Amino acid sequence: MSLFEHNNNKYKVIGKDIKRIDALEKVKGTALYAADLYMDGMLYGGNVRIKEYPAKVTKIDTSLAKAIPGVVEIITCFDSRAKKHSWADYCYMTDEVKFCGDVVAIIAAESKKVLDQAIKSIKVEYELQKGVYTVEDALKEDAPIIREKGVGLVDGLPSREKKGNIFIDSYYPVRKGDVVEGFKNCDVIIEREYNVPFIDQAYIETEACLVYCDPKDGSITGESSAQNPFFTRRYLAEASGNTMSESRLIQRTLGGSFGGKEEGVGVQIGRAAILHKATGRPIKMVNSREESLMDSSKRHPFNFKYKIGATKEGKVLALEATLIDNCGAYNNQTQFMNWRSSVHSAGVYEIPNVKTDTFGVFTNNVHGGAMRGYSSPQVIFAQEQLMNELAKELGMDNVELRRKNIIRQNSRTATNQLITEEVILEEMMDELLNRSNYYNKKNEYEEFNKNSKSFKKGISLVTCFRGAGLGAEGIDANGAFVQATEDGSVIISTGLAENGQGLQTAFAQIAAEPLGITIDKIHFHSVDTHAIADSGMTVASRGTTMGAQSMKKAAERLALIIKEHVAKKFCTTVDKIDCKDNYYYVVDENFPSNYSNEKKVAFKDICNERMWGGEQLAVYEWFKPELNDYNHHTGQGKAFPTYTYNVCIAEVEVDINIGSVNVTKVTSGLDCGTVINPNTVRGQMFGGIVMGLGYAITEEIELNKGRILNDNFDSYILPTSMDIPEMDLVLFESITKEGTFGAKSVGEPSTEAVGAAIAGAVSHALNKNVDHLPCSLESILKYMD
Amino acid sequence: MKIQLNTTINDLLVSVEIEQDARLLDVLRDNLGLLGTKEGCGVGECGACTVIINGKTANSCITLAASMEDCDIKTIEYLSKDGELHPMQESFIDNSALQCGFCTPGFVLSGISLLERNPKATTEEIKEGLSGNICRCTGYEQIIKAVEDVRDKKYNKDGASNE
Amino acid sequence: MLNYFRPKTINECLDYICDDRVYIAGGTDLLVEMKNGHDLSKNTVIDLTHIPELSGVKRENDEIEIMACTTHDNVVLNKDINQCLRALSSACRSVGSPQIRNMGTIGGSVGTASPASDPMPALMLADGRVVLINKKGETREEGLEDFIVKPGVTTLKNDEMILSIKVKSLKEYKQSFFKIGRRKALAIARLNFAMAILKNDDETIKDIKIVIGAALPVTKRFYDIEKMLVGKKLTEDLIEQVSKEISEQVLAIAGPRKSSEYKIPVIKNVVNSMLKEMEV
Ligand code: FES
Ligand code: FES
Repeated sequence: MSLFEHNNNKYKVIGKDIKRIDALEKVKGTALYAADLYMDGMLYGGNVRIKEYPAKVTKIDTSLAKAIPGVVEIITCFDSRAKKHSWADYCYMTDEVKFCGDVVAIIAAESKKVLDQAIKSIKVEYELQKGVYTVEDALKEDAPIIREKGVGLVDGLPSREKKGNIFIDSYYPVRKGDVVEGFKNCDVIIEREYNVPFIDQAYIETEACLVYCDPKDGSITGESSAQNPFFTRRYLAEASGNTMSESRLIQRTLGGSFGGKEEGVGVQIGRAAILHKATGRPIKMVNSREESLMDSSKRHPFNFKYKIGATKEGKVLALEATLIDNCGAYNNQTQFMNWRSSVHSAGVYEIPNVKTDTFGVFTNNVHGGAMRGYSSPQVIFAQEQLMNELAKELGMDNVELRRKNIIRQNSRTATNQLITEEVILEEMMDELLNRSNYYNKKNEYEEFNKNSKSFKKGISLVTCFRGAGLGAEGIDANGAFVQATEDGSVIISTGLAENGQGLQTAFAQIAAEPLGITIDKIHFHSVDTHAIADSGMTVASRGTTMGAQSMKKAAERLALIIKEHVAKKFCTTVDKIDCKDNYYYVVDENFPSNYSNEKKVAFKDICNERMWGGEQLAVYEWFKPELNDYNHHTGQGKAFPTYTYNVCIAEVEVDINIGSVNVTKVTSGLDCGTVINPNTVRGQMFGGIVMGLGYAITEEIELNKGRILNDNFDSYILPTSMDIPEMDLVLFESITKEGTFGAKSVGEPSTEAVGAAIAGAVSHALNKNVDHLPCSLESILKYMD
Repeated sequence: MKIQLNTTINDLLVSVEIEQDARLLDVLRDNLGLLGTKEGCGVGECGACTVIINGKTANSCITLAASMEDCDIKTIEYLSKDGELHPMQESFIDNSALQCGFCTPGFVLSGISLLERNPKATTEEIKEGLSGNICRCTGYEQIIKAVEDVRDKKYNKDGASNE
Repeated sequence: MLNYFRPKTINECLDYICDDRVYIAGGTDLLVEMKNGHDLSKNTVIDLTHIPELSGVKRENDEIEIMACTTHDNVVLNKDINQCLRALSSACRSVGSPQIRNMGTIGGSVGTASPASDPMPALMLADGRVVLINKKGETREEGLEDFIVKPGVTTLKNDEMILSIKVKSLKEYKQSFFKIGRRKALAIARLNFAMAILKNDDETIKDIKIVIGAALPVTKRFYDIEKMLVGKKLTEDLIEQVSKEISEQVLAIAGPRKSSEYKIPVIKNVVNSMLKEMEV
């Protein structure tokens, strides 16, 4: 059994319920977030935007605003000091407004109040242009072209030969086998379309930064709510004109990110840097919730077209699909994200013939970006609804259809990757079916629905998998620094960032394990780009899986150095030394588990000795995984070093009189590889379920010609404590040689299947094909029409 | 226009010059440096700015500071002002009831306040009592558990689980 | 804001009333409006939240008077209201969140005349009348239906303020309040309903009251239907007929708007099931 609870793990610190090391300051309210920073002489920076898009700005009248006492600086997009384009597609400022977040002028003022007045007093004249807002419109032959780099469709596929609105870099085909032949052998073929909307990460802390000049060394310094400090430094350096080495980014406690605090935070710090350069004073910028919703990236909407065929026994033989996402006006994510979509476009099933095409389309909307799952919540929703429909068509049980087709050890995925590792998916399915009493409930609900007029109940199981880390999307390299000090306390730092997910604690555990020290001895130093080398991004749930590899390596090397020291001391060899609870021991050969008391020495004493002896106490390590062999033209090859598997069962009760969906229970099973910290994993899973619930039922950015209509939490509806279902979590462990201590991803898998499972349960309850999200009051009523 | 506000914050009498139309949230943060009170939405919909005014929770983002003359205001800083943690804070730590922590001060205050009002609150009543605070990270489960543990007097050191 | 006054008594308050006055009766709405750009720089703000006599609930026989600045929370906790007007207790309990219920007041909710106000259907159910007092200290009463003109607009005169809301006890009635929101807390009513029924010994209807909010610009009570029902038994057919009639009336007033697609069938469904529940 690979249930986590049954596993007696062999580690000292790993797998234990260690309390979060950042908890104390957070419960006291003393943790410093970027908006909590104040500085003498500080000015407040703000943005001027217009309310219609796309538009060409012709004139900006700042005279009224300039006359307000306390307004220190106004820089419009026509100003010679205005830096417009950033390295990453987005604009700091522009006169060619393409979407609601574009900024036409920036202002620095002595107080928030003055700033607000100044923003309101700016008069912007502009010529409105013709825009496109939906994928359908953007793909029309006569659609206005939004971006120079956009291409058109030739024979239904993106091609550089034609101009259009397709973001060609985000196009990924997958070609496995021969679908035409495959469909010929199918007894049943169905075609379905699915749609999902833009949604927001909706972290409770909005984006914020403080930019100033470090008086000690002249570096421009930005303290920011950045998910990816090194990316954010790039904007800071670019906008200020400083070299990277004179641009310093300090990450402050992050009030949630989920993929969202990347580009929005980047352009924000760029704007602050421009104002700082102009005024010479510290600039603080804090987005209001409305601004955060306008400016930050969103989970991409997708239009899915699927065709799937199977034999009458339920063996899926062919799948063909187009996955088109709406990437908004600018984009620096879709080209990475869509690769992931393409790899997972056929689900966790072994299908001999697969042909899918995934690409993004520019529109005059807010930009799509990363949000927890990076396309998988969307793809899994469509893919799993499709499987439910296929089962219905076959007259087969949903679960049985899955059982017949899931990936197992030695299966080949849609990208033709041979899965060599252990796959525990079927075992997970059985455990969850059992625990949730799935089949009894299914029958019971179907009986209930026959007699109930107002309420309908449903249950649904969803399975999926997820490539861990970046895979062939990028290079998953990372660095870590471990320094012991003379009193036996240890400072660890890494380029990866705590986003709230518990990374600090997990990394501390990973460092503590080989060092044989307790967690309280470890101090995690948050990212300061002057103190550690660039380690890329904390994305793709790679933090613990891949990103901690260098931390493990560094801690292991330091442990070895210490062991050598101890071995010398006791005139023995390194292999005889073990460590635990801040002591290093000579292990008795006859009783290896019995730590001999005389032959032990405290970690701190060794550190002290080495320090005064002038010997090494710090280690920096770098980790770069093997490159995957992947062909991006055919979408064939080894996409990811390892996959994490996921099963989710949702139960709902739908009130069809009013269209409300009550999610009564979610049972979620995750293959974590190795569980590093059970409580943190559970926290991620609970949070992931509730976020998935929002996606399934209430969340949607409502747009009218690119304008966001629901721009605060009164109308953008997040689940509250009263909306949560009963949640049953099942943690599985499996064996993988990849991943730090065998750990797999947790953050994203814990949410990606939930929306699909809830939608499936609603489908079951209503006996309808739920073809879009969210299952809002209105949509449920429409299904019942 | 500026006016003088005299009121009690965390048991201290304060007198502070404020803008007549300032929000309580801004006065706490910008004028008094009480930074544990956070802003998430500014429209009363997230609870990150929760404080306790005359014994009841309120959203400081939609409270006019000028209106607070002679009131008794408590912020998250009140709880550990003597260096010790409130049982609710300990329970949050033990239950992993926080992730990014941005919502945490608000939840801790709502948790305390709901138990003061209803020491035997059921799970459903706890959920209702916390329903003015949004958390995007935790899914609420461990927060609810943390409040239940305090209700069940797991942290009852000196006979009083609530302040 | 030009001036800010925080009177301690009603009399003192009357002194401050002037043409450009804006009231704070809890603040929840006013500060949101300010954030959304509502310019108060030319206004005098009168803060009503520190006037003890403006808060509390009085009961005299069959009449309950809720002072304007009684918070939603205090309405929920009030024993008389719990006994005599449970629909109002439930309605106030469904407002926003604990924090909002601690701050927002009945008078504020009536004064802002929001079509989605939660207490409003319950207040109208109990023949709610608003008591107004003017600068000279003269009072007048007006039925809520007349007082609310359209969203955000009431008949409140510049020299007046809301003193209280008077409602009738419905102690003998079976009552219910039902709210549809997009989530279970912090929800703005998509629709809300309040009903009360009193029966004769022979199971025929002695009196019935039906109110629906958030369907139309102004919360509506269906007097004609109520009258039609008196003396009748609530049979399944009659319930069917009534729910259809009500939804058609709403459609006739609202017109075929986008939101009607959802609201009209739902009104029919909910009226139907609420009446059925009343019957059992
Ligand atoms: S900031 Fe006050 S409720 Fe959100
Ligand atoms: S812990 Fe992040 S919002 Fe609650």
